[in-house]
Amino acid sequence: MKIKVAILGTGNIGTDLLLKCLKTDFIEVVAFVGRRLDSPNMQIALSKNILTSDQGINYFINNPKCCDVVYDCTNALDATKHSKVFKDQNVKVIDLTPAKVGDMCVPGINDEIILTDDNVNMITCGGQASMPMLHLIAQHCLGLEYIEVVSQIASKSAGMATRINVDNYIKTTRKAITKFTGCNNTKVILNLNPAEPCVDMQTTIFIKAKNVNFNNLTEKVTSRIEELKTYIPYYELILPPTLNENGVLILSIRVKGTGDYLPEYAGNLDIINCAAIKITEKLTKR
Amino acid sequence: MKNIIITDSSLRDGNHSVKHTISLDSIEKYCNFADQAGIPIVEVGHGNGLAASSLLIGKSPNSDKEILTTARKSLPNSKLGVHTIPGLSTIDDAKAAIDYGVDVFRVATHCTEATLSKSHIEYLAKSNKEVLGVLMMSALISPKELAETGKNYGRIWSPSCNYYGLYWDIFTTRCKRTS
Repeated sequence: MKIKVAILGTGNIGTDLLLKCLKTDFIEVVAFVGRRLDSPNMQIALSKNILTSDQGINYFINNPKCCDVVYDCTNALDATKHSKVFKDQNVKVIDLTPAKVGDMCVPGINDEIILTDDNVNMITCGGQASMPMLHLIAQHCLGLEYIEVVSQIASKSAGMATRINVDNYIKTTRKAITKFTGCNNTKVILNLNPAEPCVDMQTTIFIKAKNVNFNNLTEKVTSRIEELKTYIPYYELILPPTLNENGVLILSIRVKGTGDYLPEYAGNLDIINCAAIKITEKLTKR
Repeated sequence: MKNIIITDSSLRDGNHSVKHTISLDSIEKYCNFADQAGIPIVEVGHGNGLAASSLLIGKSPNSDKEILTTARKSLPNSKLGVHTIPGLSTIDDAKAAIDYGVDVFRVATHCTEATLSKSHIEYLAKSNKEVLGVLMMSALISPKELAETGKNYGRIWSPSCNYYGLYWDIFTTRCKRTS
């Protein structure tokens, strides 16, 4: 049986997610909901014969229970308001904004919360890129002192919601680092790079710890990346875990997309959308 | 050219050349002189501004709080300014800076990315702080595009944000030094 989903928010994330859902054999998109029917992204949905609406959250108020899962791709502020509507309707929400209403989820770490929770948060693109590595490496560190995560994305891949939500991006990613590593001293930086041709999404992680156990670390990182590649095919380690001259552990990741909506450079759309689809798959196995 | 306002950013921008290690003693001394000289705005901080101390750009031995409170004490007349780059800093950092006595916020983005500063500028304007939009690396786009972006600051972001600065950026300066 296919999972019926609706997508709320028709920006970069929502549109890329729509195209990715259509590629799966376990998701049926029942509605693509935004605010303007004449927007280019609505036209994309119409061309795929998807039901569209410009009624925003009111579409769901008027059509309760139209789906099993809503992907909220709006912005942190609106997603917080929407969550109350969906809670009353008993509709599961996978939140792709940094609203932090629900518990934060990373495939391969705590996917199972999708089965029990009514609202699951997908953190941020930088969060989904870094958390699998941080969660693994934290287990190899004694006395974690500081974690810094720096992400660079192409300006063209950052829509208005991302720009207005930049503080939420930072706070939510920091909160996720603390949740998944136990380290309270964190720093998150997001850099929008306007260079042409567009730059690929890249995330660099800096870790300071009293002691790092390198035994099997590179092998474990490599095998974790193979797991990640099953749902995010162009996730690539470009700098393996390396100690610099100041004893800081550094590693770097590049994420290219599959170019469903924006071109391949926009791996930031793919990393969070592929994670959302990956946890949706869990629901089919109930 | 009437009403020229000097912002002395030596202690902030100059901090790049010493890898963000200007001492609190130097800040105190310099601020005393700048205040006596009647400089209207003295900007201090990490080279990349508020909350920029990081392994990526360079760790500062002194916290924003230490730097700003030290400068504040030595600037009885001049206004205290900070540079702040959304993506590095958040509004929480700006709130703390207000508490430490900052008067003027120069909210900076790359010249093509001014939309990133909207929420910061709006917050600071509402808090009745003096806000200047700074378009960094302004040599990278045409004068026309730059002027359009500058106009948008006043028109869209906030009626209280009346100025925009054009600024040969710290990043370009750094690249030249290291190459």
